[in-house]
Amino acid sequence: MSENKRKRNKASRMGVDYSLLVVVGFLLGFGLVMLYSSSYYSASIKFDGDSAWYLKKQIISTAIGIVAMLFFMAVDYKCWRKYTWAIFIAATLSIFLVLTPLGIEANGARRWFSLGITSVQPAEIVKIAVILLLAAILSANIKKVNGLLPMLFVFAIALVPAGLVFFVTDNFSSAIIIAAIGVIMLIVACRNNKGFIALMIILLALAVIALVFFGGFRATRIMVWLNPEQYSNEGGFQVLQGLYAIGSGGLFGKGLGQSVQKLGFVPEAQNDMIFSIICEELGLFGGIAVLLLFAFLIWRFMVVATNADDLFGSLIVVGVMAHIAVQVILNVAVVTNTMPNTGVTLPFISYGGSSVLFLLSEIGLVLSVARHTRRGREV
Amino acid sequence: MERTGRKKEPIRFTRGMRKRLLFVFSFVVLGLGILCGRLIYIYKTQGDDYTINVLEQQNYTSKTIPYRRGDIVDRNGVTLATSIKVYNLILDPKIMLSDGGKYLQPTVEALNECFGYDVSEITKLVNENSKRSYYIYEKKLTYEQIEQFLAMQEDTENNPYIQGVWFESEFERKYPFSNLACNVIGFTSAGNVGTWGIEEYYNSYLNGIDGREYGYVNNDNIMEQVKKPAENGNSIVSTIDFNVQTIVEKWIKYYTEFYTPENLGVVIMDPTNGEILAMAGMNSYDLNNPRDLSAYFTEEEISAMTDEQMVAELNKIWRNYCISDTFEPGSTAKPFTLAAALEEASFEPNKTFVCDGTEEVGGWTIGCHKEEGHGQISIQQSIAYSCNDAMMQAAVAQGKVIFADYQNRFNFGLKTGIDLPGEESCAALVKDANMGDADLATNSFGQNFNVTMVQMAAAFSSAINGGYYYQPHVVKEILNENGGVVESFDKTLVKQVMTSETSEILKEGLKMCVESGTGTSVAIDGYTISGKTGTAEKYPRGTDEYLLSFVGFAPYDTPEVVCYVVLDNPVVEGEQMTKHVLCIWKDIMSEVLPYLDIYAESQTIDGNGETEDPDGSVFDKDQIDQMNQDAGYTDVDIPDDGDNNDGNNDDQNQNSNGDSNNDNQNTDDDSDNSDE
Repeated sequence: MSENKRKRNKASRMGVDYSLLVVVGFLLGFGLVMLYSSSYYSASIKFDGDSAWYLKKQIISTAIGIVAMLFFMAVDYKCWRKYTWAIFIAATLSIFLVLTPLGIEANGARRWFSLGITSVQPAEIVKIAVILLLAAILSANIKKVNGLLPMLFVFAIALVPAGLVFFVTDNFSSAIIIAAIGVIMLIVACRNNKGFIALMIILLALAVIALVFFGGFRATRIMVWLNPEQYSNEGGFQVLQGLYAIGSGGLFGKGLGQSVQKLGFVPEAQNDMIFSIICEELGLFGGIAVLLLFAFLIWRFMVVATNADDLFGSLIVVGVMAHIAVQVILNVAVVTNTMPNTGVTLPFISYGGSSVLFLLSEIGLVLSVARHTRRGREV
Repeated sequence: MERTGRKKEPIRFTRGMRKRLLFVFSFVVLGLGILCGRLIYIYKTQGDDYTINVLEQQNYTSKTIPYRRGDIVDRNGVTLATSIKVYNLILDPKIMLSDGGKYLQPTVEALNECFGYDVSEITKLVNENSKRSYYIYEKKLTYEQIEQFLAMQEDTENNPYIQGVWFESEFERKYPFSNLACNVIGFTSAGNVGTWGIEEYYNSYLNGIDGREYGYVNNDNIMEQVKKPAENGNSIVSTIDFNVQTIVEKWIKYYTEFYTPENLGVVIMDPTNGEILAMAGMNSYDLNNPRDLSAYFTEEEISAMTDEQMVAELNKIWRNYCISDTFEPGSTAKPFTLAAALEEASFEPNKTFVCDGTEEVGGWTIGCHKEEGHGQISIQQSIAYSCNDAMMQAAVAQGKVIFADYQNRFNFGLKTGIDLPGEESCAALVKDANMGDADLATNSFGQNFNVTMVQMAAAFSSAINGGYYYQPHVVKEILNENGGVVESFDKTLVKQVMTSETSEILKEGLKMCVESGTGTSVAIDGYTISGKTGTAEKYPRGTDEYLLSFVGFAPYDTPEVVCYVVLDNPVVEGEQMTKHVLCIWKDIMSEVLPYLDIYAESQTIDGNGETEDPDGSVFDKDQIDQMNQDAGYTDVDIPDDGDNNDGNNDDQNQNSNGDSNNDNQNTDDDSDNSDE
């Protein structure tokens, strides 16, 4: 106990968690550089010579995101507790905004609605809302949620917006991420090993059912995954070009800006496939370095969660950690063809305004938790 | 579960939760680890294959559209360097052999018909490379050569099965006049890298940006073709005049054979703005084939050379004598000594010197080339007769500090900043204010310090144009692909080096030099030619080897052209004398002046037969125009021309024209005296 106490004393003197801030800042800066590198060619063709089109939009989103982050960092996270249900309901309802005239259709799916200066993806709002609500429910009822039924009940709360995201905006990967955030938060909060297994099975089953019955699932998706060369016309082309990019980068890459694959071969190289361009330009070395950065980030989350002032704060951080970890793993797994293709962006690096805005808000929450950790607590 | 906290403390993260969080974290790290492993696996097992695939699809669905390097043209638009589109013939064996090989036979036969390629050879090649899509079979075909095949390929009704051959275009640098102005233009090495001359100095302007044509599969799995055109390079308009350069090189070639000197350089420039009209040394090479030494060595000699020797020899012919080689100028430097004295030592324009034939300097006796002395002479006469004694007096009068300052002012020891690579400043070979007395004395008549030709030509131009030092340059304008002006290099006034009054006095002396001084044999009938001779003894002294030079200008009132000729150590019978270089200057300028629309100022032009060898046909028409204009200023110049009789005997023969009337004064051999 005394050893435990000393550790907590030491860790609780965090104030602003600078190492977390530095890693996030680095990822953002690095992300902008890679975004420009991977998009300038297609931008200059698509937008009539404006090679910085994507970069400029992303810089604006990042700036707004940083303001949001500072706001959430400054405000004591505990004050959100009262509003978690309200936020959750608002976020869930916002999903339906894409069906209104505000909705924007791109790449054949209505996943965004317009907010004047920027477009917003409601799935991203839902992620943060679910994290806050589950953290509030679990911390308030921590002794009551160890049973299987309560666990399932809490999980069901997360499933509602996940299902809406899937059915309304046809966004399978976001739905999976929302559900996975719920599962991980439950795993950490609840003392019920059987419950975890049950949750995992339910999650898998739901994913399969969603895909088979509602997602226009085709067996070819698996076939493409297993053998992209042979099914290049069915979508293997994109996967294969990403792999070519990774494979041709070598140990240290072709050099920043030197990617050949971004010149039209890897479609939308600034989005989901940006990791393959990183590997092509910066090599195996650069790719692994990025993964290590994310590993460090996640480790920092764990430290903050462990030392938080209250369970509500801890669980918020666990939720954010789940969100980022799942997204990184899914993205890199898809790019390396370790799993079948779904559209997941790489946090902080891929192009996407709402993604970076809400990710930074979540980081703001985590920083707030770290900042409001009191010193010298007793256990 | 642990009970954490007291009553008021909120529930905190329990140990169990930490364990489970650690479990989740380990799981995440494991996942990231697996993905790292997956990256390494892809790199190890597929890296090479994927690299090849990437390169192959480059050639297949994406190709570079090469930009065109800009032209270099002379001041009148004559193309000196250009890029011509040539085609590489690419075979695609994979396509030829697809669909059961029904394309192979007709395609190979068509290739045979159009290009005369051997049928069995190509068939064999295609079968051996059946997996490849890109095989360069022949390079640098012209459009005329491939025209017939393209027509056959397009005629799909009659030839439906010609497949798997395509052409990739690239540009080849061509120099239509081969050797002409080679040291000014320079050439390009592989991949449009300019080497020497304008090609190197303006490389970034001449080059453009490659375009690209590629295809990709969009979301609906449809192949889309995108073409991003190349940005072609800019063109350079040189100040070089093709005709003047041609005249210069013609006479350089002639006199090089005649004298076999160590070198022979000519610079012609416009003193009113620093534009170089012509610039050439003795060593020239074919810009289309810059690594060919066969003009200078036999085949055995070349094959016996080591790589280092080869590079050394090539650099020798590539370097630009007029800007890279330095030499002691000799008496052509005298006007600058006088300029400093007039400006700074309060010499009156009517000042006279007494030349007694020798001057005592710091224990040395330095003599004038005329042993008995020139007697009492004016400033102008000291230039005309190239009097060393007078120069030494002028140098002493101004002192070392002013002399060194004026060397600097005339840019001796500094780069002129001409827009060509490889310019020498020879800073180490120009004395500063700490020079010795003997240095000051010998420097005053152009020994013991070095200059480059372009330094001398630019400094001389400033001395005769009223004192304005313009930066010499070889590029007038940079034009974009459509002929719009990107950048224009007007005259750049660097500094004013002297007053116009001083300039006028120097000009009078320079005119007198040709009228009655050391340079009489350079006179061209009907023109007021002015200039200065130079005979510099080469180092080591006493070997009777000289660097002969003449720098002159015309017309007298408004100088439009300066010509500087340097003849380094010619092989002649008897002594080396300035007459050997004066005839070169005269031959060149007799052709250049009429070409530049500078016509004889007197009416005698019809009678003296000077126009018998006009270079261009344009001459006659312009001549008539000029005649009409001449009426305007004949009254000014006729008296001067009257004195210009000496020149008449020079017409017959360039080689023996330096007869008696020159010999007395002509050899301003500073030589005997300039020991140190």
